[in-house]
Amino acid sequence: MSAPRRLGPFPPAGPPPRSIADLAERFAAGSAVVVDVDELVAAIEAAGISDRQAQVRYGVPTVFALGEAVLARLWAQRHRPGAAPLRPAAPPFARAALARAALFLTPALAAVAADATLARVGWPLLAATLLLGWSGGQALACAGYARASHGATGAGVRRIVAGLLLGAGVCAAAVAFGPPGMVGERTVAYAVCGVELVAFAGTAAALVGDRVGAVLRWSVPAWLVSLAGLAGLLPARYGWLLGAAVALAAVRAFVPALRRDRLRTPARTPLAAVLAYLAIGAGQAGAFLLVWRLVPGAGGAPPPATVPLLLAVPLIEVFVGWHAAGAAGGLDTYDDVAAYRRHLRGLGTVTLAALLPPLAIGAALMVAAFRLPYELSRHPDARALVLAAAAGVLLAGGWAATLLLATRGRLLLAAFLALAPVAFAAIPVAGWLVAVPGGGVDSLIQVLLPATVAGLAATAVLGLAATAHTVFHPGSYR
Amino acid sequence: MRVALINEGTYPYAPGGVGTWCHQILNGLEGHAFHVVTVTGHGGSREPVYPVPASVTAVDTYPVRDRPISVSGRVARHRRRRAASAAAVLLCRGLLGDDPHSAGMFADGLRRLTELCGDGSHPLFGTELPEVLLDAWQASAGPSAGRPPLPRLSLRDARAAASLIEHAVRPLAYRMPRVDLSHPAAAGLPVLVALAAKWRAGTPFLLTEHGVYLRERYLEYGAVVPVAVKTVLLRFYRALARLGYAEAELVAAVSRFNQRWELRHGAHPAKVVVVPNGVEPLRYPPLATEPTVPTIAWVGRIDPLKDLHTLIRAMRTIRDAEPLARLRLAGPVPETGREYAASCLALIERLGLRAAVDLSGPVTSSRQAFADGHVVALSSISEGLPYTIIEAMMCGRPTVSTDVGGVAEVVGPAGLIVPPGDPVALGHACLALLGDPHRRRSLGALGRERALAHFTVDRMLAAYRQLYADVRAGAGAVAA
Repeated sequence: MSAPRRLGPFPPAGPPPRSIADLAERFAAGSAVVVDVDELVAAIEAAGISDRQAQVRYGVPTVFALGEAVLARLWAQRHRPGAAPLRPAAPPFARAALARAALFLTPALAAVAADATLARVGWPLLAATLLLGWSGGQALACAGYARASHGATGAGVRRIVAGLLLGAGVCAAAVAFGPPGMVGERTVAYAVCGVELVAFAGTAAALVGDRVGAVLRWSVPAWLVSLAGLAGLLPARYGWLLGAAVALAAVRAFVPALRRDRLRTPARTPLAAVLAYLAIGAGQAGAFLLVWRLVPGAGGAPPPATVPLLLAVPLIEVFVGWHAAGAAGGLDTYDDVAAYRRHLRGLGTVTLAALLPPLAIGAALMVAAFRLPYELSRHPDARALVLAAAAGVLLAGGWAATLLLATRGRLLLAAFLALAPVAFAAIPVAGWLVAVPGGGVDSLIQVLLPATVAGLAATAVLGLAATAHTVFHPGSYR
Repeated sequence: MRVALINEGTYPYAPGGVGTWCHQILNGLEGHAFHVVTVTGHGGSREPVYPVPASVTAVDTYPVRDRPISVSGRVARHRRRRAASAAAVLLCRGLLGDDPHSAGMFADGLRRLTELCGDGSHPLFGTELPEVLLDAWQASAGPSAGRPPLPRLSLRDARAAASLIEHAVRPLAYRMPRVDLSHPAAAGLPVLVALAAKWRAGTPFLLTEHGVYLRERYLEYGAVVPVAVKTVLLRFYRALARLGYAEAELVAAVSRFNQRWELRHGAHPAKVVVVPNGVEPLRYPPLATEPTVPTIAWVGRIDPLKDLHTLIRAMRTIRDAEPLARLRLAGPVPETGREYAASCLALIERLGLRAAVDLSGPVTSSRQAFADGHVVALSSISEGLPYTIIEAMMCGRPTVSTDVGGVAEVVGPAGLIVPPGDPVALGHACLALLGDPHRRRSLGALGRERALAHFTVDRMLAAYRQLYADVRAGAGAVAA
C-alpha cells in the first residue's frame, strides 16, 4: 500500500518549537520546498500555531509576520530554493528493456523446443491461433493499460483474462469442428492451442500488471525444460511438461486479476488505439508466418528466417527503450524549448542511423542470394537460406520501426507498416494465381520468396521514411 | 431576483459543508430563482445527494476535463491561436509577478480569453502554453527586491503545469444565462464563471468562501507535486483569488479567520463581511440521554484535511486510560478520499484498535451519530466554519476540536480546543470530558445556548438576503 498523502509542506512534528530559529530548522528539515510565505503560513496554522501563539511564543504580531520571519531564515539557508541539478541523470531503460525481451522470448524458445509436438498439429490451426493470440494479446494489453493507468490494474488484467477465455472458446470450436487435415491430432491440438493463447495472454498480463520480473522468475522452469529438451536430455514426449511450465509462468502473470482495485478513476477504453494494436499484432503475426512458412527448418531446426528475428528481439527492445528514455530525459534536462528541439534532432538522427543496418544487411543478403559463389550455388537450398536470412533481418528492422512509431504515438502509421509485408506478399500470390492457375506449391515458393524479401525491403524503406518523419517532428514528443 | 449559485463539484452531488450551505440557501431564500452551476472534473451522469428545490430553474454541470469544443475553419483557427497566445503571454507573465502591474496583466489575459471563448470553445485553444509559460518563467526567474529567484522549471514541469492550467481556465467558456447576480461559493474555479459573466454581461457577483480556497491549495500541493509545478499552480490560484476579491461586489467570509486571509490578499476591508454558517434548531433538538459505553463521535467526510490519523492516534491514548472507550466515525468516503480511508484502516489495525473504532459510513442525520457519543471530536487541520461542530452544539453535546479556521470562533467557551496534529492533547481533552459528566452537561448546555444565539440558519439567510440586495443595488449604482 502506498503511503498516505501528506498535507502541507511539512507540518512540524514533536514538541512546539521555542523560537523562530527552531521553527525554521524544523521546516528546513522537511523534504518539500516552500514556494512563498503563504504556503509557510498555511503549514504553520495547520500545525496549530495561531496569531495568539505567534505573539506569546515568538514575539511577532501575527502568523503572517511569523511566516515572513521563518521564510527569511529558510531562504538565507537555501541560496536557491528548489534548485534541481541542471543535468538530471537519464532514466535507466536497459534493464527493463532486456526483461521485456526475455519475457517475449520465453514462449518463442518454448515453441522452438516443442517442434515435435507442434508438428502433430495442423499448421493452418497453428497459424490461426498465432494470429489470434498475437493480435489479441496486443489489443488486450492496450485496453488493459488504459485501466491500469487509472489505478485499476486488477480490472486491466481481468480484461485480458476475459479476452483469453473468449479466444480459447473460438479455438476450441475450431479444433472440435475443423477438418482433420487442418487440425491434426485433436487432443494435442486442444493443448497446443490453449498453451499458445495462454502464453500470449500471460505476456500481456505481465506487462499490464507490471509484474515482468516476477513472471520471469516463474518462467525459469519453462527455460530449463526448453533448453533440456533442445539438448536432448528429456524423453521424446516432453511437450506436456513444457506446456505446463509455460502455463505456470502465465498463471503468475494473472495473479493481479484477483486484486481488488482500491483507487479507481473513470477511464474510457481507447477504442482506436485498441484497433490499431490489433492491426499491428495481426500484421506482425502475418509477416512472421510468411517468413516461417516460406523456408521451413530442416531436421527439427528452427526456420532460418526466425533466427535473426529471435536475436533481434532484445536489440529492438533496448533500441526503443533508449530512444524513449532519451526523449523523456530531455524533458527533465532542458528548460529551453530551442535546446530541447536540438536534443530531439540529435536523438532523431541517431535513431534513424540505427535503423539503417538491418536495411543494408538485408539488401546485401538479397543481392548476394542471386550472386552466390559457384560452390554454394550448387547447393539446392542455398539461395532460399540466404533469402530467408535476408527476410529475417529486414523484418527485424521493420518491427523496430513499427515499435518506435507506436512508442511515439503514431499508431496508424505503425499499423500500416506492420501490415505492409503481408500486403506486398499478396501481390505476387495474386499474380501467380492468375499466371499459373494450375501450378504447384514449389513454383509458388520460387516466386513468393524473392517477392516477399523485396516486399520486406520496401517495407523497411517505408519504415525508415515514416520514422524520419516522426522522430524529427516535435509534435510526436507531446 | 435571479441568482447563479456556482460551486466546485459539491452541490447537489457531494455531501459536506458547502453542499449543506447551498441546500440551505436554495431552500431558504424565498423570492429568488436560482441557476446552479457545478464545476466538475469529468462529465457524465451523477446521482444528486440533495433534493433540488423548486426555486432552482436548472442545475448545470460544467466538466473541465472533458473534450472541449474546437474551433472550426483553418483561418478562424489561425486567428484564434494568435489571439489566445497573446492572452496566454499576459496570463503567464501576470500570474508569476507579485505586484499590481502583474495583477493587471493577469486580469487582462483572463479578460481576453473570456472574449475569445464566448462560443464555448476552449479558452486556450491552439496555444503552446508550455512554451509561453517557459518564456514567462525565464523572464521572471531572476532575483528581485528581497525575493529569491524562482526554482528551475524543466520542460516536463512546464508541460505538467500548463496542462493543469489549461483545464483550470475552462470555466471561462461557460455561457451563463441572464441572471441578476452570480454567487460563487469558492475563490477558485467558480470565480472564473462569475468573472466571465461579469465581463460579458456586467453581472455583479458576491463571493462566499467557506474554507480559504488558496490556503487549502497550499496545503494540498505541499510535497506531492514538483516544486516548479507547485509554484506555477499556486501562483495561478493566488492571482485568481486576488482577482476574485478585487472584482467581487462583496465578499462573504464564514469566519474572521477567513477574513484575515482575504484581507491579506487584497480584498478591500469595506467589502468583506463575516456571515457565519447556521443550522436549523428544530432539526437538532437537545439530546437527553447518553450511550452506556464511553464513546467519541466524529462526523464528516473522510478526507486528508480532516486528519483522522491524529484522531485515531488519540484513541490509543484514550484506550490506555479508558479501556472500554470507543470511537465512531460517521461519514462518506468520496472518490478522492479512498486512498486516505485505506490508510486510516491500516493505522487502526497497526494500533490494535480494530475493536475500538467503527467506520459506520454515511448517516442520514448527524444528530443520530452524536446520540451515539458522549463527546463530539473534530481533528481537522483546515476548516472554514464546520457545520459538525455547530450541529453538535445545537444538540447539546460537548465538543473537542482543533484550533483551525473559524473553529475557535464557533466554540468560544462552550468546548475544548486543542492544537491540530497533537494526538496526545486531543486524547487528554476527550478523556477529561469522558470522565466528568457534570462538565459534559454544562458545556453541552452552554454550546446549545451559544448556537441558538449566533449560528441559526435564519440569521444566515437574513444576512444573505441583505447581501444580495446590496450587491444588486451596488452594481446598479455603478452602472448608473
